[in-house]
Amino acid sequence: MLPLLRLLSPLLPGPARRRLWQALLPASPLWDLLATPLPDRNADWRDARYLALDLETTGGDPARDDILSFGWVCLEGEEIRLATARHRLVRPRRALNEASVTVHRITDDQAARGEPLETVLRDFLADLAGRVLIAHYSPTETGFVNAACQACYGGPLLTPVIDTLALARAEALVHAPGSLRLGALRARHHLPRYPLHHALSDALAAAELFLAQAHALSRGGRLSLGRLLLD
Amino acid sequence: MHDELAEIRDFLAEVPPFHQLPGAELEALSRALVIRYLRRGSDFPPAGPAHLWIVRQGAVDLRQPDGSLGRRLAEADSFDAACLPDSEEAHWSGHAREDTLLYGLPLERLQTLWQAHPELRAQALEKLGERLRKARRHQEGEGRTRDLSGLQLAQLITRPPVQAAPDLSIRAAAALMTRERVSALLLVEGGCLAGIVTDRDLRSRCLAAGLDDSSPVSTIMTAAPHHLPPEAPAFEALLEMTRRGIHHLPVVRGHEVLGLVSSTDLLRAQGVSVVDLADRLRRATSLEELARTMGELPELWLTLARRGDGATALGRLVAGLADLLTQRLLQLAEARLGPAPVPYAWIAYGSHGRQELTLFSDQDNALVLADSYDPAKHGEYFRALSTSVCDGLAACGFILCPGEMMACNPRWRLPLETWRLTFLDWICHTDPQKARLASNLFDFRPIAGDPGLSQPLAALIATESPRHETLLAHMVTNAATRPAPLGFFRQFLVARSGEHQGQLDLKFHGLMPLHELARIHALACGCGATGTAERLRAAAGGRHLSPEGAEDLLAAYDFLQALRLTHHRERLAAGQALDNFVAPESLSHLERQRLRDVFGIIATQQRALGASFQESRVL
Repeated sequence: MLPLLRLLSPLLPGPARRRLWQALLPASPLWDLLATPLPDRNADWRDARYLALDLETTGGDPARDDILSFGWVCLEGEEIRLATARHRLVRPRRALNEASVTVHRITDDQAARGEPLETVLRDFLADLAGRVLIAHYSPTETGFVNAACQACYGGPLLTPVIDTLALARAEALVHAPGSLRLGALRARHHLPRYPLHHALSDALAAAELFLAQAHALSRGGRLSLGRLLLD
Repeated sequence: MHDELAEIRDFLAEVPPFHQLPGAELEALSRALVIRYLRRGSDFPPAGPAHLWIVRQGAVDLRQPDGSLGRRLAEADSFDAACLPDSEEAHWSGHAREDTLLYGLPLERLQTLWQAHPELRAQALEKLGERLRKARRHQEGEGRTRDLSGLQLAQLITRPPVQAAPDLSIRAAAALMTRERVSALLLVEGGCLAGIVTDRDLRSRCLAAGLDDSSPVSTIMTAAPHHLPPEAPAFEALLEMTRRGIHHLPVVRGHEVLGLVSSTDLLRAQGVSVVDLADRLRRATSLEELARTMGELPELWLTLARRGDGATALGRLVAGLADLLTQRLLQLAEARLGPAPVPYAWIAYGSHGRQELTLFSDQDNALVLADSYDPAKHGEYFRALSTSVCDGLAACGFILCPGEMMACNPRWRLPLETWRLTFLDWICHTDPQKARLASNLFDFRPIAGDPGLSQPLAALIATESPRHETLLAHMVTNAATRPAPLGFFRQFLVARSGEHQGQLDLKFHGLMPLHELARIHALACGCGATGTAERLRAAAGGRHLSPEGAEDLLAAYDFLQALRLTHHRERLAAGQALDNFVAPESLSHLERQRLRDVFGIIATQQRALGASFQESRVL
């Protein structure tokens, strides 16, 4: 039954998939997430709740690489709440390779002090309940969290997503090389420079960029959440 | 969990008042913040519960209810008006001037912080007060509610002067005034102000007198009208107008006629405080009332100084009030003693004569009596009159001159002819002592009574001084007995012992030598001005003073005056007695550097002037 469902579920519309998985999964943090009502797509984006996430990983492939750290922060409408900011190191299953150490400055020693993936994932999913996920180039975040959910709870991550890179890409047809990077986009929206490649500051950077983009798109008027969502 | 909001914490560490907090508290505070993004043009503060807002990036303009800019918030500026009781700023409307990222600290969290650190709250209130005062000043700068004392005549001139030649016919002059819609016409001959004609002159001196309207307008003009320089405070113009019963005052720089200021212009620009104080002096009916009113001067002075009024404006202001006080004291004395048996002129010299009065000046005055004065018959009257006024001045804060050089001393209460001979003696048969007296007296200015009595003395000084350089040479020598307080390596030479150990006397070593230099230059070129800056400007480019030299001296004078003003302001605010002593180490590095340069300039100019007179004596 389950392999068949896995095959068919992507064909179903979002709400139906959520209901389906809710029916199939045993009680778990993932089930709780699925059971929490989502923000109304037709309401103004300022009335929704969000969670901006950034992950540091050992590589680009969720099937082979590991999550090294989670950084996230929640938004109530257009207000970022730093009290909800979290930075969690995860103990990877495999030893670190040199390239990822250089990029994230997370060493084997630090990684060894990290928590088990399931502990961090549980807290993350609890915070995500009822919120729209925000990420810059979201395939990384959704891909790795989805893989983690499958590994820990046997089901997919089903959540509405806003991708700040996709929003930027939609603004124009042609983009100069590098112009869609987080730092470059922030500069374009007159946001301060943050040191990047730290999961929490990247999450915060994406959250602020999202606010700037959403305000720019709504031009002082109303803008439905649905217009900002991926898919 | 450590160091994750490092950049926010580090930013907070730079923002007053949070920069005073220890790292751990900053860390906790960072976690309490919310972040908002305002697109350019959006309203500020964001709707919702009260927060203390800090600009992380961008800028916010806050406008006062009347639409004027009250405050501009830039990066790291914070806005806590909504968190403070009765804050005027809370009613200001704001908007983002640029795309702006804000950090907000919720009110409850701020209150917790204030409970833990009451000094932060006190600072916040203090800062708010400071900003409100500044905003008011800003508003004044934009021309709303202004106070006459801070306003210079130059700012009141709204159009170029309407002027004509004195030989124009009365009818043509009237037509010109009608066409230009002015109530007074300035008459200019050879580039100089020759006279003024007002509506009232046309009425009383022409129509009522049955004068032919084809006569030249010069027949009905007021010749050589009283005028003021553009930098004179508007308040002084009001005093002049009241004293002389006139409604128009020409504004003149050198010989250049700049414009005309009317009593209407003054009323329009009128504020309260200073004018109110002057008015109460004018109406006071007793010495007690005068003294009480003058008792408000230090506070007013402090307010004006804090508001940014310069030393020159404040010097003129205090001198103006001292003039008024003297006039009122004389009126009260005359009311008691009866009218003066012979005409007199009450003159003030020294800093009062130069209109450079500070808040703690001693009184320098003298009496010029008409030549019909008979000591046997009138002596007692003028003794009583001058004693009453000098004591009155002392009661109002102008301490009695220690050298007794005051009108209550019979030696400074002389008929015109005696003064004339005395002045001539000082000029022509001078010695160091006479030169010292001349230095003092020659700065005189008529304050009350008949100015015609002192005028011949001013004329005498202006014509005779340039021709008798021995007097000037003695003055230079007298000045040189006060060497610049700089050592061989330009270190300051401060008092080695006594009450002012380690301090410098700004007046004795700085301002007095400058007054002296300006006076000598003015006397040498026959310039009648008494103000130090005016004198230097008038003498610039003459035989003894190069334009560059004059500029150096003017800059030195401005600097010393400003330094003394700050010193007085601080002492006054701290409730200390005023003096002119400053410890060099209390100054900033830049100020010390500047002060050294100033002393250097004074010494150089003294040497140059000395050499210049030596030369002319040899020739």
